[in-house]
Amino acid sequence: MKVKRTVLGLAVFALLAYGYYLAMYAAPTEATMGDVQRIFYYHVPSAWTAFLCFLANFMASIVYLVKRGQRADAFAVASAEVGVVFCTVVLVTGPLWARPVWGIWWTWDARLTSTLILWLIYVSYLLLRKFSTGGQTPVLAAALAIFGFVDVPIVYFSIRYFRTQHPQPVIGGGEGSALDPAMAKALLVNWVAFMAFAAILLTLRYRLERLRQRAEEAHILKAERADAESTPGAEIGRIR
Amino acid sequence: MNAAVVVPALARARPPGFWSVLEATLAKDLRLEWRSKDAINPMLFFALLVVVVFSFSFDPTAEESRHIAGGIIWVAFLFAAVVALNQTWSRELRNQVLDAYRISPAPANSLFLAKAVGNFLFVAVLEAVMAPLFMVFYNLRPLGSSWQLALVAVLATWALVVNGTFFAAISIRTRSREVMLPLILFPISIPALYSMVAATTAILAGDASPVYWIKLLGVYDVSFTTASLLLFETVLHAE
Amino acid sequence: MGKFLFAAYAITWLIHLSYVCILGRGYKRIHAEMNEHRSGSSSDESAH
Repeated sequence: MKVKRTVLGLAVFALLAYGYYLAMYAAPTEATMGDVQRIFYYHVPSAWTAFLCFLANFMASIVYLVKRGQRADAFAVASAEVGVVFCTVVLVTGPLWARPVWGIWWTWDARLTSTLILWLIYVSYLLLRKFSTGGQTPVLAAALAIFGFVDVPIVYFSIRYFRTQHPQPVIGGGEGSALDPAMAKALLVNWVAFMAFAAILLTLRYRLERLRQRAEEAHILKAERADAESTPGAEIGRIR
Repeated sequence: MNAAVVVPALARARPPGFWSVLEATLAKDLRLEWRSKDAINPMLFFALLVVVVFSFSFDPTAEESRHIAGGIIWVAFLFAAVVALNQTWSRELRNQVLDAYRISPAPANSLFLAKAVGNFLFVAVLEAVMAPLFMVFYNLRPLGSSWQLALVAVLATWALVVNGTFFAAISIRTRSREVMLPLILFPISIPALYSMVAATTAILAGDASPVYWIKLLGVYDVSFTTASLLLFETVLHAE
Repeated sequence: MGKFLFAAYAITWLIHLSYVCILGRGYKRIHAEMNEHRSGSSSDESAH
């Protein structure tokens, strides 16, 4: 078991290293932007990975509301957190790319704008989980998660029109336009590598949450037992 | 207004029809508010203050004021709406009425719609007070169609209020509940906010068509009203 | 130009490593809590 884990970990590390090599050396230098364009190989895969994490959070939230299983809830919080991590990467690498190329730190292009809104929505989700009192946090959070994800298509539609009204420099000429095959390969490898890495992070966070759930259950059981022992005759007929 | 009064009142409605509960709850809220005016008065003054503060901060005499007025107005309305939304459930909480609603057979959605419509009316009153003031301070005269402006106002206000009422029910179960509501409401409202500002600016400046934004607001309203109706019962019963 | 590229890659990994550290701290804390719980329930022959 431990061996399998180590092997998988090393495999993902190797994949990430290969992706790095492709991004930094093997991929050709872009004609207009130069070497800075290589940020694209980290920026775009992170955006896609973040989106997939949020999709996973949406599905886990629905499953939780239907079945009320602890595992669905653990997966929901894990996918939201990992999604926010990757979202943060997109929001940091975007300006670092925009600044040398266009002289401005921020640009309201489709990807950055929608990533910012997604980041805000899921950070608010995480804050709700943190600040919620009482045992029904998973239910409330799941409701918010569903609302948040329902918003996603509307966000895309509003930004698309926003862009035609305010023409913006487009980050990543690779948006649907034909990519040099060597660049496409670097992009793909990095995407797979980051998704695998996200899977590792997800698993780690999920396990941590399951441990927390069990610890809390044990706490509650302990408190109830102590309570029952101190109140004679009270164990019978307790309303939960 | 407390639990002892509400439960028998709701039980008397046999069967507790959707519309009768909605009407009863809405009527009760409006009547209570009319008698005490304890929410509307400070909110009206707050609305006036917001208009004045914004007018000082964003120069109304500037050339481009017609183009930024839309944004200023809706941000002001948004802040006023949050103040209104934060007290949506406070009366119920004070008197343990929420528990009565939970155990009563009355459909949860009629409670939600009653609250949402009540909030809509509150915010509409605030807007009705603030809008003329903005028109005066910013020297506005819509170059586009006025009925379109009214349509935008209705759709936009509902967009804020429907999610606001739902999230208010969620945020009452958090620490620092007054800040939790805008915290979870604003990110999700961003596309609606952009649409309402874009539509208003298009109409005020008369230089673009607001139709796309009106449609998007419509889609937003339908999506989130549906989501709220589907999920409110779950949220109400959560502890 | 090279420094922006370097910063982008470096900060990306900084963010990921920070998250891993946060997870690590979380694991440490939960294990500590579970051990304390185990030793704390002295008379209780329960569960684990």
